Amino acid sequence: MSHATGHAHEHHFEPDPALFAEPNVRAGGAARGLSLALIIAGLALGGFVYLQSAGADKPAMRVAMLSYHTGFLASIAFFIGALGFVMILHQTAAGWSAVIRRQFENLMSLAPVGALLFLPTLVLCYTKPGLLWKWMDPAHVAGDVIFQKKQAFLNLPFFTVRALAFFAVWAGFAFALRSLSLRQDADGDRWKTRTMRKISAPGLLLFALATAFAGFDWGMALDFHFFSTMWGVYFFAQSMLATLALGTLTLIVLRSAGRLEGLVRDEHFHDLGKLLFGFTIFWAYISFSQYFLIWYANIPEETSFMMARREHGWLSLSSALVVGKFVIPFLALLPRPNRRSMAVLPLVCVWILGMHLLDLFWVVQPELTKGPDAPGPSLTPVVIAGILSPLCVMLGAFLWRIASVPLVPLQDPRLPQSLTHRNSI
Amino acid sequence: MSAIPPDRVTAERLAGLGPQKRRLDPVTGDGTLIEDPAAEIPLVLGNHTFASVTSTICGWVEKPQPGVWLPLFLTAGGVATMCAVMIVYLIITGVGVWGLNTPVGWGFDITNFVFWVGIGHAGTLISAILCIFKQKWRTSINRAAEAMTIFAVICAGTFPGIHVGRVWFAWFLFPIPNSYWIWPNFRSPLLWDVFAVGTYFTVSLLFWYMGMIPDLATLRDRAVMNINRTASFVGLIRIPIGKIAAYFYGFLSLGWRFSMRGWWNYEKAYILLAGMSTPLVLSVHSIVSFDFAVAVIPGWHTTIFPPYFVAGAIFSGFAMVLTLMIPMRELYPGMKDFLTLKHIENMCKIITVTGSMVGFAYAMEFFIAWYGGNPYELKVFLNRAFGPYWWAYWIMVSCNVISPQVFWFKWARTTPWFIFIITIFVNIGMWFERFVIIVTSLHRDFLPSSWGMYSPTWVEILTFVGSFGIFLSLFCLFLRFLPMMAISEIKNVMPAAHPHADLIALARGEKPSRHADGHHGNRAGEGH
Repeated sequence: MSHATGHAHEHHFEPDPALFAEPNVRAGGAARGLSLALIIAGLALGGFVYLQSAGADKPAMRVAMLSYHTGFLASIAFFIGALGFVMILHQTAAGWSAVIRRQFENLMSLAPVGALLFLPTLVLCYTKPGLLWKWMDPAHVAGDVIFQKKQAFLNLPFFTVRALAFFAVWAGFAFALRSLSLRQDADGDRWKTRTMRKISAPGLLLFALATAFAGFDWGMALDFHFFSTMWGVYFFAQSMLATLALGTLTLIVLRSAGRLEGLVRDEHFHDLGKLLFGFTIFWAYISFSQYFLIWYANIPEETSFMMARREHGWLSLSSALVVGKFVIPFLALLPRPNRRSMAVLPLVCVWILGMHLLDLFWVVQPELTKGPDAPGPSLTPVVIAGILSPLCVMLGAFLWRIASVPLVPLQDPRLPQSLTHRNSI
Repeated sequence: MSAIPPDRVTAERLAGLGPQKRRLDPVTGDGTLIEDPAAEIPLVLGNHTFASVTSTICGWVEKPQPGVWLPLFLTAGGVATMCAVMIVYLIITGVGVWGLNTPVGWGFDITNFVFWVGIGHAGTLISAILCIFKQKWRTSINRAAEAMTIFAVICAGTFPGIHVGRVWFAWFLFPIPNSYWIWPNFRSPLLWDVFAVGTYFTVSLLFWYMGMIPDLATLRDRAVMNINRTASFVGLIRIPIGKIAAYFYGFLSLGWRFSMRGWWNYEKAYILLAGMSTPLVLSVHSIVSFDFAVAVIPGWHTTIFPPYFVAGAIFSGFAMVLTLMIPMRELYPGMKDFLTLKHIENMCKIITVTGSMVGFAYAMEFFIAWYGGNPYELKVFLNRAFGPYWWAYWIMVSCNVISPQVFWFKWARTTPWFIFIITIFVNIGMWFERFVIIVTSLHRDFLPSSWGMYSPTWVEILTFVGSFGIFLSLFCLFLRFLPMMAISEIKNVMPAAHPHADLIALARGEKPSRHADGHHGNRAGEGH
């Protein structure tokens, strides 16, 4: 690196090799330990839920299943959002993002873990139909005229095939993109970046369909009379926000653990903060539009969903979501110093992750409490354990991924652009 | 690991070097279509200096217009006059001259309104959202796109105004205190529309004008240097056009003096207006979609409408930007240096993305119409596709969803004449989308006794055609009198704008002052 070029121009910037020294771009062994601890904790929590509800009556089993499903949806949102995010970054040739992309690649590669977490649910769909999705219970839907119209879609074999297809799309594209990126670490072939861009274009199309229909199947169809064309977009908005919060938090933790020194800087956190801000608004826009149009038209077959979330003590939670998932992050992320602050930004990320759980709790749990004598929202040990169990497994697997690969793409052709990225105009 | 400038890529390719030579693709087109991820793609071609950028862009205003300008302007003006005649005829005769009837209360009027509002979305998206996303390529297209936005919103605003029937009561659109204490319904999205479109027009106009002030000052300064220029009017009167131009641009440039403090305020105002315009890009068409979606009419009431309408608006807006700019870059000399094939390719990609989003929304609507189990909803959708207006539906699908998919092929999205044809298809398709949504949802009411058909009268057709005249004649005037590219912003994305431009040139073995002609740093905007 000649003196003149090194100081003269960002386009001739040659990164300092010391930045890519092993200790700076590798997570320590502690991550593996924590990963194992989290996976074991997740399995233990799952075991606890199983033992508590295995021999119980049907309502108790339903509580356990819905809680597990809440945690399941909350945890698959991470890899779904990450896959979408990485493909968008490739499509837009986002040079700034080279140093932050690896953590999102790690996240998106967790699709097979999601499939494993779905397995118990799927088995229960066959052994105890109707426990989670009431439409699977032949007794429940007997004589239901509306159900008969959608039976061609809502039937167990097709449901299973669809689930397989969703995971195949997510896992397939995630695997292809991440392995290309890892191979680029080794051989430095800059044309792999172009291949990743080319894969991402059809990837986004299939991703959109898989994500929307997964949202329909696993979220919307919990109430099989309810329908909303927006639901797929809503699920996508939830996922993107969750991913961005977890990815940003991960990078901050890595920075505070002394990694990524000089690689991921406040400029990148500033941009991640802006994306968090943007997707907070996007989530609010989508969920407001969905709520507002249903409220305004006031058609009973649609309002049933919203009514269930206004009654039996759910109204306070619904309102809390508006304030907690929109107003507070909006105000917290609006000032520029907050988006660059290593004290405020992680707090906001944790807050958004909490709100992500609350959002899915709000989607799933009221399905339990429908009816005149329904109980309100409740947090029993089984509910908490059910929600945390898949989350712990997913986060544990994520930590394992972090520990097994370099923390940044080592030879990305856009690294110089990313390392010299500035937000000031 | 360093970024490789395109000339080195070319050199590597010619020399057969490079790490993976078999996969180095040739530099095609004007040299901006390099696929190498490590290459910096130039945003301005042709070895421009700051001075030559100024003189080229100002030249489009100062030099005689291309030969087709006058015939085009006269034609467009004639068509616009026809529109005015049709509107006068409508007003003195009554809405009966249109084909609206009892089940179909909205026809061409609201279709045209939504169509034009949609067109008006690209400009602010390019200037505000792409600004926030730091997409530097937007600098070549933002000015013309914003102008187009404003003219499109003017066309859009015409239709709700004239469709009320008794135009002299159009002020009821606004909540104006009056002695009868009659107010518009504040819970009606039609009223929100008035606010949304009004705000959008105002903010877009301010944004466009404010961004233009430094360039207007450049034109002023250049006009002052030619202040004694005169022209003769049919050989009789000598018109002091130098003075007129200097006063005209001087008045519009608000005393801009290219001072450091001026630039500082300008940058602040620009980013603030960009931030404020961004939600507007989304809100306008969301509220337009509420006009339909809050109703209980099957085919109108569906929750995906707001983002679906926004995606469609961006889709049609970018199509219209390309429809206008592809001929422009052929007509005006030197424009291809600023509006490169890369710019066009990027816009084609946006068209494909938003077109696919629109296709996704069509699919969701159809799926949920079936899945929802509401027989009326499903019937409306089957009627759209296979009923009496089947042709409109399939024009919509083939133009909006299928035609932009050709841009998956690199040839298709880098060949201007072909893109031009596709953008015409997209414009047609997006007009038909609104027609399909409005007319096919209305024409068969819940009771078969209330079924009907709608077909436009010649007055409606000529009014619609005439609105293109308004749009194009305003755009011609823009091309003639205003700087059609943002001079100062283009300079900002040139290598010479870098604070160390001289050192970079040295390091590359170039002559130090090849790009920089004495100006350094930000926004060297004044002309020579």
